[in-house]
Amino acid sequence: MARSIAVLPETEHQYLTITGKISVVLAVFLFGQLCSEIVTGTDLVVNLILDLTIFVSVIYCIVLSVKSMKFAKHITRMGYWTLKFNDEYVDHVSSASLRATCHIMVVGAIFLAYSGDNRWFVELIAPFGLRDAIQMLLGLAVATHGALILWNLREEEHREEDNFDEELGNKKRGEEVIDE
Amino acid sequence: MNEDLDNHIHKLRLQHKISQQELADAIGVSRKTISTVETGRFTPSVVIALRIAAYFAIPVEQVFVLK
Repeated sequence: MARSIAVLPETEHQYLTITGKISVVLAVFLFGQLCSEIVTGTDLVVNLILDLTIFVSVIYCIVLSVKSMKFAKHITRMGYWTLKFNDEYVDHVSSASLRATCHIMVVGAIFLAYSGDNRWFVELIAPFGLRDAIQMLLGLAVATHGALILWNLREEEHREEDNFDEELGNKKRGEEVIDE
Repeated sequence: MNEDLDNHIHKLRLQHKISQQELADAIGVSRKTISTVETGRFTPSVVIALRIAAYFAIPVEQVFVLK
């Protein structure tokens, strides 16, 4: 029998934000690994920076994953695993980011499936191989997913602040008129 | 953004002196939902529209109007 949980909209919002951050960190890890493969044995400092970036991204990804696990008790199973939320705006942001990610993956996968072993493509992406191209596609998809979530949720915060400032200003002006 | 739809939520909130958070809590949505509906960036479902109208005790046509 399914558990019935009273899910707070703010909890869903926090969970989606963490999911977005995990996606961005995962993208940093994937791109970091790709860059690391190119510069291996060339510049020691660059290698060190890239290794450090990969290490930090792995640690941060683990920390965020542990954080997100705490939401399992406070969110529906559907929301936790499939990012389907009760709050309309949170669900809208989640759906839009998943839709964009899905399109990138499908278009990229079709391209790689049909042109991945063509000579011109192999020469074009050299020194990367097909595996690296797939990794790049995956990185691009998760980066888009995370960036869209964080952008949409953050952008609204600025707008809210603007609204509240505007409201506060109007109220103050109204009080001044009454005083006069 | 829905170019055909306008709303008076901001005006109604000021009249009733309530914040976005208070309205969001009253109708059971996040503050982001109210904020984006108010600015016209997000079109809510009929359920949310009716809940907002019911909160202000006015018909839904007085909250949402076609341009």
